[in-house]
Amino acid sequence: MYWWDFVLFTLTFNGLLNEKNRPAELIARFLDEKLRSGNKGTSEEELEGTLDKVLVLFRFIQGKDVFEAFYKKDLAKRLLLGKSASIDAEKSMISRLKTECGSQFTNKLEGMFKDIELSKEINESFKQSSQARTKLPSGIEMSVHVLTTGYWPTYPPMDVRLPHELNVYQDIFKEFYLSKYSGRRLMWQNSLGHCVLKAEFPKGKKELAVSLFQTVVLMLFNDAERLSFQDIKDATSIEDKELRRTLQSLACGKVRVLQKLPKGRDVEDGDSFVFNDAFTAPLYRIKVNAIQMKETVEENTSTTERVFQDRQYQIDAAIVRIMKTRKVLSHTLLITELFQQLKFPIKPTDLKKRIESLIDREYLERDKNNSQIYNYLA
Amino acid sequence: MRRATSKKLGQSNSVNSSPADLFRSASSKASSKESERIDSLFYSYANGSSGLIDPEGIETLCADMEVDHTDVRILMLAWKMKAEKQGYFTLDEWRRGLKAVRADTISKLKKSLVDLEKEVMRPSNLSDFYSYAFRYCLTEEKQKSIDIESICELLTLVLGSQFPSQVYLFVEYLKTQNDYKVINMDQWMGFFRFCNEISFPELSNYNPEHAWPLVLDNFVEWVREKQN
Repeated sequence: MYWWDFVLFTLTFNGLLNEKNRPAELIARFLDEKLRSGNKGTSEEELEGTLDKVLVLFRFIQGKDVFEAFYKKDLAKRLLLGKSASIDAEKSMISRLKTECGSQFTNKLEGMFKDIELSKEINESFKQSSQARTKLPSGIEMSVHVLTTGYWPTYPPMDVRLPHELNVYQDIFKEFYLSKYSGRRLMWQNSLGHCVLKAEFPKGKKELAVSLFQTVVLMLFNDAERLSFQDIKDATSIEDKELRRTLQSLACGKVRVLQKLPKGRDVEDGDSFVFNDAFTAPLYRIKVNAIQMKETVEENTSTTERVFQDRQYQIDAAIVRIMKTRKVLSHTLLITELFQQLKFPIKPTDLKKRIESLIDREYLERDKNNSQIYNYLA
Repeated sequence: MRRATSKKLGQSNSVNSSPADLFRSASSKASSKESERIDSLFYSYANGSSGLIDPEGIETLCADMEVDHTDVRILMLAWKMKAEKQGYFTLDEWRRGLKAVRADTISKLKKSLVDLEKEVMRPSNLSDFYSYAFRYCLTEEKQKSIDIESICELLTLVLGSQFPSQVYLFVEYLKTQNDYKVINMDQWMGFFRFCNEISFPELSNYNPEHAWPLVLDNFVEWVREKQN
C-alpha cells in the first residue's frame, strides 16, 4: 500500500502527476493486480470501492492513452490466460471508464470481451462439427481464441515449427472456421499459445502447464534422449533469443524438467539438454514459468513507443481537421485550438514538428505574405 | 509563341519611347541582329547532340568570362535566365537571360554581371533569388530537401555577404547539431525571414511561440547558450 500513499500525496501537485507517463502506467498496473485472480482476500464490495478510488485518480491523469495501452495489454493477458478474477468486476471497470471517457475510449476493450465470448461459442460448435469428430487426432484437446485485429494489442509474429499433431489440429480448425466465416484471414499467434502436457517421469506422472514454445521443445524429447542447442533450434525454428529464454525456463528455473549440460544460468551455443529423469515435485499439476524479466522491460518500452506513435497521428489528424474547417488560421490560434482538442500532455515543440511535417507533405502551406498564417491545401 | 514574346521584350529594352515608324523598324532590325548574335553565342557553347549548354559548356563559358563556375554571379545569371535544371541552359532560358541583361557578346555578358549583382541585392529581388537558389539545387525528381552540407555552402554563397554573422553562426550550428540531416524549403525561407526581421546578435525580438520553424527555435537557443 506504500505506492497508494505515494500517488495520493502527489495528487495535489497536478503538474507533477503529469510530469511523465509513469502515473498512467502505474494506475493501469495497480488495476491489473486488483482484477487478476489470486487476489482472493478482497470481497466484491471492497473491490468495487477500490475501483471507485482508482477512478478518482484516473481523472487527474492527462496521459489517458498511455493508461489505455497498458490497461489493454494487461486485460489481454487476463482474458487469454483465464486469469481474470471476475468477469463482472472487469465489466464494471469498463463501464466506469465508459462513463468517464465515452464509448470511443472503451470500444476496443469491449470488443475484446466480445471476442472471448464468441470464441467460447465457436469452440463449442467446433467440437460438435463433423470435421472435428472424424478427422481430429486423438489424445489432444484444443481450444482457440479468435481475436479481431485492431481490438487487441499487437503481438509480433513469431515463427515455430509445430509437431505434426498440432499442425493437423490447426488445419482442421481453420477449415472449420473458414467454412463458417468465409473470406476471413486467420493468423496463428504462436507467442500467445499455452498448453497442458501429460508427462511421465520415472518418479511419478505430472501435468505441466507450459507455453506453446515450451511445449514444442519438450515434445522433441519424446523421441530423443539428448539434444544439442543447435538440434533444438533446427527442429523448432524458434527465434534465437526466444529459444534461449525458453530453454532457460525449462532447465535453469525453479521447475527443471530438462537438464542442461554443462550446468549454468545462461544458455550457450555448445550446450546440450537431456530429459530430467530425477524430476520430482510435491504437486501433480505444475506451472513452468516463462522467463519474463527482460521481456517485460522490452514490452513496456514498445507499449510506450506505440502510444507516442499514435499521438503523432492524433496530432496530425487534429491539425488537418481544424485547418479543413478554418482554411486559413494563424499559428497562435491553431496552437490554442490544438491544446483544447488534444487530451494528452504535449509540448508546443511537438506541435510545431507535426505542423512542419504537414507542410512538408503539402497538407498545409505557410502564407506567402504572412509567415504567421497557415493555409489549408485541399 | 515564345519567340514573339522575347522579341517584344528585346524591343522594349532597346527602344526608348519614341513612336516613329522608321525608328521602330530600324530597331526591330537591330534587335533581330541582336537575337542572332545571342543565338549564335548559345550554339558556340551548346552540346551538339543535346542542344543544351551542359555542365561542360558552362565551364567553358565561365572560363571565357574569367569567372569561377562556383561564383555566386553564375547562380545570379541562372536566376535571370530562370534556368530550371542545375548545370544546363536551354536556348529559351539563354535568350531570356541575355536579353534581360542586354548582352550579346561574352565581354558584354561579363560586364553585365556587376549590375546583375547590384540588382539581385535589392531587397525586392533578394528574396526571390534566395528561394530560386534552393529550388535550383533540387536536382532529383520529387526531391524536397537538401542535405546539410550543401545547404551550408549555398547559404554562404547567397547570403554570406548580406548577413555574414547570422550565416556564419547558423552554418556552425547546422554542422554541430544532430537533429536535422536535411533542410526543406520552409526552413530555408524561415532563415531568410530570420535574417531580415530579428535583431542580431541580441535576438531580443525572437519569440519561439511564433511560427518560426523549429530548427530556428533550436538555433536561437543554441546561440543564447553560446552567448552566456
